[in-house]
Amino acid sequence: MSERKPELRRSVTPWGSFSWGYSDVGADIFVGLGLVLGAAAGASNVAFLFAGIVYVCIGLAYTELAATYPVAGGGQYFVTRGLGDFFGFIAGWAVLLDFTIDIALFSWSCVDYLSELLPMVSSSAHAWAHFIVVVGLIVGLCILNIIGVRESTAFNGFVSALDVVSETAILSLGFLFAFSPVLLVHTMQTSWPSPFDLMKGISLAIVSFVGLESISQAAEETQRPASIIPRTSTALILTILIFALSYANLALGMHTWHPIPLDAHGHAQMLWQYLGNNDNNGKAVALIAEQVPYWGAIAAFYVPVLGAVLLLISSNSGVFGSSRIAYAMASGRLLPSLFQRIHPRFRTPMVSLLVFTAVALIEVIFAALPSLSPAMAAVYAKRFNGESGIGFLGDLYAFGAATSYSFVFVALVALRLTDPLSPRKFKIPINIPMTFRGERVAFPVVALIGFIGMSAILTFTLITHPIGRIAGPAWIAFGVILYFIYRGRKGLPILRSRKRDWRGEQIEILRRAGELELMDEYIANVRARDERAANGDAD
Amino acid sequence: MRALRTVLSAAMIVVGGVIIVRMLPYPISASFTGIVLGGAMIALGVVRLRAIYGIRRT
Repeated sequence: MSERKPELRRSVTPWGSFSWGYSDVGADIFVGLGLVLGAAAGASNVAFLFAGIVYVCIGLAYTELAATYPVAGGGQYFVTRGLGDFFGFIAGWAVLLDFTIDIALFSWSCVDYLSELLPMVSSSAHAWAHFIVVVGLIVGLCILNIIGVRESTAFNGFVSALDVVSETAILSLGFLFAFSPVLLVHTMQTSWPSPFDLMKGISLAIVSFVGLESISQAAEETQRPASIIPRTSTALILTILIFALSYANLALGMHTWHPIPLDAHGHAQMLWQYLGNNDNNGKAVALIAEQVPYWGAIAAFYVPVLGAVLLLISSNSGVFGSSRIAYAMASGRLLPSLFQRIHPRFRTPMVSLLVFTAVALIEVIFAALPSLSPAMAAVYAKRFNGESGIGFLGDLYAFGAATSYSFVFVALVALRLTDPLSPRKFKIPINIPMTFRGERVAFPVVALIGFIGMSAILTFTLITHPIGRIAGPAWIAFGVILYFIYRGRKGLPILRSRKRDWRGEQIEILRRAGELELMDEYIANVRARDERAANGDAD
Repeated sequence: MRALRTVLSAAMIVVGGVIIVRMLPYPISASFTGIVLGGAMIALGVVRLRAIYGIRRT
């Protein structure tokens, strides 16, 4: 009897699928808002708009790919399938960078939000306490993941529902009682940033839209994903976009309920300056919520807690996701089998968990150094424009996201051309019908627009982020060297791909997903093509 | 529950429309973000309504 691979139980409902993505991507605005306001000032809404349009394109690309290939490997799987092993490795390696920063950045920001209620862990006043709590959280999450404890889908659903209601209330009341379009226009005109700062703001705004890998992870565990995923992820993409644009406009055009504290030099400051400074950029959503008339009195107490919980879930998804991607890459012979090694008792990928948590801890140390040591603060001020804390981590995050997302756009185009037989229940709108190698295919125009936008964001990242342009490419170069050594030692093709039975794999994927109609359609498509090819040869 | 979800989705469409109309008179940089924001709200409302009533493209 043949041994079958263990399968994940497909029990996630449409709401579960939405909340899975929301608890990951929805947390991003809690970090991204302050970072973007600090960089793009009066053009923060434009920065969010630019990144948001690109995000909608990448979100639609993930939706189509996850519905067509519902496997948990995410970006690296799509790129491997579309562009081959080498590019699949680079995309996966960039995603791994993002996941490790996910762990570090969201744990850091989680403690920032908690510091709103517990000032003894504030990063500005008590740097060591803040650092120790962040490290403790990351180590704790790693241990929980090794033991195999993870938040349930029901818990994700509860927190997501609470957050959607809360953010809707904050934004509705803010716009209803405190927003002034005249003030918005005035702020935009008087505080418009330099082109350099606008580029920096745009590259940081993409931080608010990272985490779409969760769509494909949810696809693996959702029953009939081809039907459910397009519906839930379209709602997810639009919800996140609405919240990000609303917060940015509110921060620029809101009359505050309480007077804004003076800045460090005793000068008056505007709301966006207050939210975007180094002391507050890690907890901007909690501070803006406090300034909303009436609701702010309640929001001041619960938004920091809600933000901290959501950020902790997101950080945990980084720990879990990095181990899962590394495991998937090792299964595809892109990484050594060491990353597949599981704990004998808990049956979890222990080595992957330990390695990528360690990388996250190193990132936290580098981010915290300037606040822990005045000598290092001087070095950072001289070499890295003084970037530290979440600015440092956001810098790297933008690089990893822009790199992996760029590859996903190319993979989408490649798969549309090379795999037209796989049934696509959801297709990105606006396609150009054409013939490619004798097959009728549809070229996705949105993917091209998204790729251009994402390439622009990658360029902005490299131009404006001194750390991102060194550490990001260095991470990729380090990975490529590891990949060459590993593939060379195993006698596997280095720049070419291993031969894989994609047809058989696709049938198995659709069977496991319960998409039996699509599986039959795929088999019929393959047979029809084989017959056409045979007839062509005979003629 | 279905009625409540319908009302919420319809409200989202209305609010999206109001945002677009309200932001139109302002300079392009401000009005364009308003148009996209309002457009996204209308799109989300439509997606929700289609999901609630099971409307699919044939």
